Amino acid sequence: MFGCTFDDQDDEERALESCKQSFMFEPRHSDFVFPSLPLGIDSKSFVSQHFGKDAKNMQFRKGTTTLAFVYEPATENDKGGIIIAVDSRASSGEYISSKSVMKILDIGDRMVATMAGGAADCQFWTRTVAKYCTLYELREKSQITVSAASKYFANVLYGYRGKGLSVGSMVAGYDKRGPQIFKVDSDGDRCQLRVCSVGSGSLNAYGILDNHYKPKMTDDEARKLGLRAIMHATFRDSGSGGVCNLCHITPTEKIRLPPFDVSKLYYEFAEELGKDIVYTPRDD
Amino acid sequence: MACSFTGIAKNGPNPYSEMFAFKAAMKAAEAEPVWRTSRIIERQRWNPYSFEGGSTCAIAGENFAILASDTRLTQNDINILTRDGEKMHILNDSIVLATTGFYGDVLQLKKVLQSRLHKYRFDYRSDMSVDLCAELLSRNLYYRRFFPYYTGAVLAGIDEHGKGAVFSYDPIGCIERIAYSASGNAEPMIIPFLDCQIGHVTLSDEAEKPPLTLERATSLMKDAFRSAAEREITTGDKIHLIIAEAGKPIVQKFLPLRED
Amino acid sequence: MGHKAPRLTSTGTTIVAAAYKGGLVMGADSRATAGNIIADKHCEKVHKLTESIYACGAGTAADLDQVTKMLSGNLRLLELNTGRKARVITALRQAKQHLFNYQGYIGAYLLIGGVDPTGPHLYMCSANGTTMAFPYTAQGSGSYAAITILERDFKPDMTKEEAESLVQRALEAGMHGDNASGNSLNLVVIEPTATVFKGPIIPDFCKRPEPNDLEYKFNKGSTKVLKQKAYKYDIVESMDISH
Repeated sequence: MFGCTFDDQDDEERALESCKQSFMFEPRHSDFVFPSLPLGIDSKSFVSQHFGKDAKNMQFRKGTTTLAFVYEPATENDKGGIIIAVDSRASSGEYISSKSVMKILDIGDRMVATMAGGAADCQFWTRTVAKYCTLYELREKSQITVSAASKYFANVLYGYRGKGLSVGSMVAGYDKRGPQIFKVDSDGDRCQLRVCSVGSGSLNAYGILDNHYKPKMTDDEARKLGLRAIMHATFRDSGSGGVCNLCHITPTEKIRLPPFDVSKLYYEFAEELGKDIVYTPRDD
Repeated sequence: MACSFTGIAKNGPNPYSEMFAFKAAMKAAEAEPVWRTSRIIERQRWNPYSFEGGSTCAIAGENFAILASDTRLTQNDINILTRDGEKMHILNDSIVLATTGFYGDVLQLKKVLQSRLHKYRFDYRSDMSVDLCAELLSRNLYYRRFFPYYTGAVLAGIDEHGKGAVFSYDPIGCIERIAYSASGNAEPMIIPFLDCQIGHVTLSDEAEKPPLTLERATSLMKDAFRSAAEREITTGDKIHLIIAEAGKPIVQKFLPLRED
Repeated sequence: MGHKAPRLTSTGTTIVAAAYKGGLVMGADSRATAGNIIADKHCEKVHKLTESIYACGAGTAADLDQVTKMLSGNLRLLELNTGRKARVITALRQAKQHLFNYQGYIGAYLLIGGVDPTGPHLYMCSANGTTMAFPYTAQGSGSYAAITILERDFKPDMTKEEAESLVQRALEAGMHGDNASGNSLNLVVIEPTATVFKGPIIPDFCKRPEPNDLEYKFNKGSTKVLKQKAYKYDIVESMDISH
């Protein structure tokens, strides 16, 4: 800061001006670039060589089952909306590096993004999208649509295509067009779905969802379906586990439910079926 | 040679052979492009990282945070570089950074954080809080997404409310605030132990659970490292213990470990 | 899916041997590692081939066990057939021919030494069949540290006590300076008249400096009982197994 004066007033005004310049109008591209490897070395293969499957020490955190679905209220007492349910495991290779990850990340008041694939990638880029959405709402004085937010997300990811990012996210929220879910991934793909699951345990979750999903459900039914699908996915997929975090976005609010332990959920499920959960040796 | 593909011939050679050949050539070019000279292949094998072994661990309590690491630096899992290396770095009165991994990156990361903290102090005339520093570290790790720091970081300290805080990271800045964390070679040994003793994951709901006092946390930490040193070859020499308690200056201690 | 099979090795090892006037001292540490985990703290790396020929091994633990077992069997047969004590050079020849056949795929690095009617001998045999004779030598990952002590302090025609202490100091240097060696050391002193085995000796720096702070005991009722089932049985026959 050369030629710095003690005129605080002036400084503040100038700061405000520059703030307006950069945020109150159409955002410009920032000139930030990620530091990269020396010329001729591909970052994707470099990173997978040192931090990938065969790496001994430093592997990135990965692995997930996430799901979300839209439903309509069955009775007048129900709210309807979107249920988002996720597990909470992060594994580095074969090692479970965390069993308490929050995989539902906030984007504004009524929108969330789920986290599947590389944990750091999701966290970082969701934050970028959240910033974009906040600035958009300040600038345009109206709420951003889920569609627009997810499209921005997809565009950002498409810009880094082939660089080795790993993101499989569902942007879900309620806007003027109603409840919406967009699946966005690091290949740059973006599609709108009503029932959606992403991650290593997604096939198991789909199995339950497709079987039991109805367009019209009570709130209780819908939440139970989300829990059940996650529970079954964690039961059969080694990349998923821990607790089930659930988020319910209704037309008026976003409700985050307390975490459910999946093994307890399994006991409840087994009790419902009348199934014996204890191994019993043959009686001979 | 001019291309002479004019539809599928009835009685000739395999009509698809040209397509097969093209596909094979494409695949070969992708796998081994002509421009990939031996010099380029050599460069792509470039490995700027090494791993100096050792382990670090941190526990957050109600009004304290406690960190520990061993002090051995190892080359290639076998050779001992030094017996009193610094794996933990006190950044200010309430923030401590503990890292394992490539020591060059550890030092670089520490310098980056220190300079940012210094600037913050200059700009805002107060020390940065641990929550802010945690986010800062996360983003700094992610900025190197395409050339990551080879580090397993743990950041701990006392937050603005006087509570202990521990943040755990992966090499590219996946951040999580948790009660206890470890990184390094003995992480898979220490974490299950702490899961049992602090997380009480094996206890039934009715069983009595001892509260996590500073004394208990310190003892658990020491025992974790003593046990790790018994079975993990890159952990040993000394335990470096850092205790940050709300409203008190940071205390450092060194305790002996086996040296073989 | 799946995982790598655990590979128990003792590649990380310090083995040392030195000849003195009329005899030979050999020694080894006792740590076996699998990756960076200590798999065995009290692993026996000094293998007996005959009454007066011993082999210390570095490399893959299983290969070493098999090779030394084969050698000791063959040497015993030889002794019985000829009615004489086997020579060290014979043991060496058998080892190197076996290992050469397998082109280094048997990961056994041996120090073969002993005393026979022609005097004390010490040989090194590497996995691909290379052999060398030495007055003193060290092998394994801790050999760099160990050899420094040997190079500094070795003198020809030492006494038994001097040689023993030299080998022990060399081993301790290896165990101290090398991550993959440690825990305790074993020595064997071979003389024409008698072979004395010493160990395990635990150097001070290999001892746990402090005991654990806490006791880890789980009270009754710590584990949740999900289900109980009682089995009723009749005693048909009983026997005393107390002795």
